Amino acid sequence: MITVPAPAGPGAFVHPALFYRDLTEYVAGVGGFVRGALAADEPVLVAVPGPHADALRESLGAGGGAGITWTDMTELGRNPGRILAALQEFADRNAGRAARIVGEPVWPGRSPAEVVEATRHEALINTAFAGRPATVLCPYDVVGLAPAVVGDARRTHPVLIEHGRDLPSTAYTDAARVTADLDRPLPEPDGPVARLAYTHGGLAEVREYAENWARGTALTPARRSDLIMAISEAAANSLAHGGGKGTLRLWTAAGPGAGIVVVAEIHDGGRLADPLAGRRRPSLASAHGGRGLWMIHQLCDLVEVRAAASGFTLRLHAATP
Amino acid sequence: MTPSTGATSPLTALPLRGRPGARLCGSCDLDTRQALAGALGVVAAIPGPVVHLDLSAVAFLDPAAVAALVRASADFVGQGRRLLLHDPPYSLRKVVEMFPDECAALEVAA
Repeated sequence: MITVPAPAGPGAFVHPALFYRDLTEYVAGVGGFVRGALAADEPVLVAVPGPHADALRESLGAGGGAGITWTDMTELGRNPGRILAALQEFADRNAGRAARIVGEPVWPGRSPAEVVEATRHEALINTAFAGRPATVLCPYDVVGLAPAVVGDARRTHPVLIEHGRDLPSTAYTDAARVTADLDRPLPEPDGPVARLAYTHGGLAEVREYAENWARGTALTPARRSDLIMAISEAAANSLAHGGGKGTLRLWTAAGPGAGIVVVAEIHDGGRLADPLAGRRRPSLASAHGGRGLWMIHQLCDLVEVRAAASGFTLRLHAATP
Repeated sequence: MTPSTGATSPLTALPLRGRPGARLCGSCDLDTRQALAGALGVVAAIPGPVVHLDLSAVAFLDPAAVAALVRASADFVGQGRRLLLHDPPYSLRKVVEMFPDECAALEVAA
């Protein structure tokens, strides 16, 4: 039997990782958490991969899932950089009540690049929710996931539910340290790379260059336009916040499965002053870089973020059909 | 590496023939922010209950440009008038999709 985390108090933020070995443990642990929250009339968001949601629904019985907000994490969290804004929106919609959230951003089959960004998201949950009355329970498949991935979960969660016990994580590490550790250099692309340097006055050329290049890929017109918008926002951030200039590189890479992924890299001299930039829904009229980053996260299938002494790098991924 | 020419793509506004309004031509982004503000100032001064803004020759609008259009539309409504947008590019429609509440003031001709 797996214990279920009890909220430490009305004002406390609780962020446990639940380590499960099979679906039975999953349904017992996550289902118990959800049932407890529903019994206490607390708002519940369940953001997990579809098959896990199906198992939970079945365990809750007919009508048992009423009152739960369900989100397929393989869609919301396809780009892990989108998840935190959605979780905060749910908590904001239920302001004054303790939000109970199940968030499962890591599952077997995720690419290494996705896992890095999902781990970054897990670390930043602690920053974003500090002091808020909420629980975010994160299930981890300790059989299907690599030991290093589970090890990172021990660093990003202050509390672990493991072997039926609910204990503080001795490996828990400050979010700034975890994200700095994740900011390791990205691998260089294998194949041919198109490259354009830009500065003030060059945004239209950046879009035209990327558009002409992307026409030679298998991206659909809509996805191509989405990627161009994301590139334009990133390049505009270079001009406004990244030293006034930057470099765009474009290439294609093998994606998950048989697909091809289009990658656009924007590198400039900027720093990520606010690690939460782009991870909260901005207003259209807001004039800081967070609006562009938030849009980039919505428009792309994966956004790799690297903040280093040498500058700021974004790798924007768009999958082809 | 291909060097950027650094040339700002111009954004121009011309009066419409046959009805009150203007046709914007070019791209609306950080590089052309001032030009858009100037053009919208000119559009605001066009008299009439309905003023038309033809966006068919605008290749791109960034979110700040859409925000400027929202403000301009709200000003028209405040004067009991309408600013009617025609043929906006994909980027405007996508920004509206991402910020639906804040873009509710925009009126796009069917």
